[in-house]
Amino acid sequence: MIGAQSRPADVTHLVTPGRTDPLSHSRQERPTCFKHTDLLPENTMRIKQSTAPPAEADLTPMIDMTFQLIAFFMVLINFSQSEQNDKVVLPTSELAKPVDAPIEFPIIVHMTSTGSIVIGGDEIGLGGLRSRLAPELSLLTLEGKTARDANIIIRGHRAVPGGQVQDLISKCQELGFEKFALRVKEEI
Amino acid sequence: MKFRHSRSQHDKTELSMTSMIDIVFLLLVFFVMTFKISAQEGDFNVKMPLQESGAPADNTQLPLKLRLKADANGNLSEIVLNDTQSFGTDWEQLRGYVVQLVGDQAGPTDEEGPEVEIDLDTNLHYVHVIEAITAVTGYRSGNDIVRLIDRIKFAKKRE
Repeated sequence: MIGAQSRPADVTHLVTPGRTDPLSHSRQERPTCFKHTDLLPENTMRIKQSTAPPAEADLTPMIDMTFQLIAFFMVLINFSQSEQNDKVVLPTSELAKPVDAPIEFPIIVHMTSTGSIVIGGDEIGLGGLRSRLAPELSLLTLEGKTARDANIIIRGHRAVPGGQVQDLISKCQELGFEKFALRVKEEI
Repeated sequence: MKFRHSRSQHDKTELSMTSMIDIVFLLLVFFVMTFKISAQEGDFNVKMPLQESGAPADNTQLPLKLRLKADANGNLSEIVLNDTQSFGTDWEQLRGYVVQLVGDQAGPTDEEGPEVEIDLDTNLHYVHVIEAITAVTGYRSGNDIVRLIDRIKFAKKRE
């Protein structure tokens, strides 16, 4: 650093103490060139300092963590889209608690504010419920179960008239379903 | 024709990390920004088999009939319990009454515990139905949930 001041302008190397400077050999005779050992008093013991390689930051852990974060957010985004529907704003309840055990054979039924029903991405009216649930019923039969074992999870919009939810429940009852779950959002 | 081969340099090739980190951070920022923090969801279980003629009567010890009246806009106008007790639109009063009724019992059981039948006006907003279920199902004390009535069913739809 001190020696760099006496160099020509095109030499931009910084000379740090303890590091060998390639230019210092050829210009040793110059009186202006200056070695760091000149600063030491005569009776000081000279310790040979090892030449350290240039320090490089190890980026591997940082990249590991960053990729993990990316993977985390990607997975989370995919999950949240599968069960939710943008048109449905759930009512809130202070008693909402995530279910502990997985629900047996869940069938998620969304009910929008206009009263239309969304099952698996298909928007249908109340009249189309029977034909839409027919494949689910046959799947239940294939597994040796009945409609009584299935759980209908109702995700109703907060402003939908309660009578329409009753209609939905009674239609499902006619198909043999018994167990219903009214899904609510946690109150924050 | 004579090709002059330039002397290839066998220097140690170093990967440029900067561009990769740029892209990775860009991706990270994208996912962080698009991530929507969604509140946890829970369920209220309603077991409602289709009532058949000649079905056995309910075996509940304490039948409660909750009537929810709505105004023309679908908002709640009155809460009536067992056709006699009116609570206005105050859910806390209803909850207090249910705590008195149920509190001295051993707690809800699956088969013989108290049961609430909710009878609502058809135009009543669903959010009020959930409020009613919340009020009779339990209450939160600290981090714990005290359960009051677990059995809930809907009355026949009003015409």
